[in-house]
Amino acid sequence: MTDHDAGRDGSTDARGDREPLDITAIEAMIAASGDYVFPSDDLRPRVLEAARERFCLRRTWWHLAGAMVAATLCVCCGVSLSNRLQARAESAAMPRGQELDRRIVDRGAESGESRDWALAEIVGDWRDELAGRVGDGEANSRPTATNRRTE
Amino acid sequence: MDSSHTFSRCIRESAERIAESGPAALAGLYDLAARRLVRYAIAITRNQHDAEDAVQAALVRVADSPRLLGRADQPWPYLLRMVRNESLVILRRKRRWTSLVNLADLLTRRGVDEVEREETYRQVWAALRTLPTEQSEVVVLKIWESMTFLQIAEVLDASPSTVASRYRYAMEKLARSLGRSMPSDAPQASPLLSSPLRPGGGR
Repeated sequence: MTDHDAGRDGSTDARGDREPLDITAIEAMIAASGDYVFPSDDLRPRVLEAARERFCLRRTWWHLAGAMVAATLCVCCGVSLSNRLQARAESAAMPRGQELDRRIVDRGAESGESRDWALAEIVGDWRDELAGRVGDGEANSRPTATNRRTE
Repeated sequence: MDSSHTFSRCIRESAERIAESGPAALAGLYDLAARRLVRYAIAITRNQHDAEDAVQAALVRVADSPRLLGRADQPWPYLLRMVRNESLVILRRKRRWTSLVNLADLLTRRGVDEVEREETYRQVWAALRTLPTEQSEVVVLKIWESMTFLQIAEVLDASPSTVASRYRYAMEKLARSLGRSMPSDAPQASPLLSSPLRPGGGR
């Protein structure tokens, strides 16, 4: 009889000098020894502390992520606003240099005025245009430099 | 409703409390399950310190996402599976040499009326350590957790017949090893554990 067979039918163990126990007795022995081992005393505080640290870390991470999203939104809005303001400022700027010179020549050729008057009218028109952009109705109703001269 | 379902319900309630109150409520789950989880993890890692690390990692994960546990169909087997996974990770990371019969790492406790049984307990734990992990964890789940082969199969992700075979081989080995080492006044079987061993059959 092999050792395996001996264990299965519960007869004498081939190598030992004592009979193997029956299965129900073994189960009872194992069940009784289940409470013999217990966790160490420091495991409970260790687990709770680790969970608390993980929770705080996660909360901090969420706060950080939220702050980063808010900062990104602020930067995007700021850049967009800045671009719009810059474009508006550029379009509202008084012409300078060659552009101004070209306009004076055109205006002079158009109305037969001297360069000085042409420059004065260009400046007057530019001011009226600025006032119109701001939405000042009074400025809109003001007569242009050309109209003033006509009057 | 069997004890496993009742215990699962308690685990679910604990998980819901953690979800509501935060990690401070983890103490309730710890008090409920830690001892059983450590016992199971020891069967896998064969070392108490590693087992406690595995249980700690699993419980911290629970505190991190308690709703996963609360929504599981069977929270107790789910938690056992979490501990098993953590134990296997630790086992892979720390392939260490351990004497199979050395129980020096275990923290043990016995009542004053159990002095004469202590040697039996030690023999049982030493015998369990001589089993392959696949067999010892089946024994732990079957006897200490009172789970059916079907429930054990779900935890271990194996077929019920495989689980039953592992259990049968484990009990044969334990019968031989404990039969050689036990005194003749071994404890008698309890009615709860008197079911015959049948491969493929659940309790």
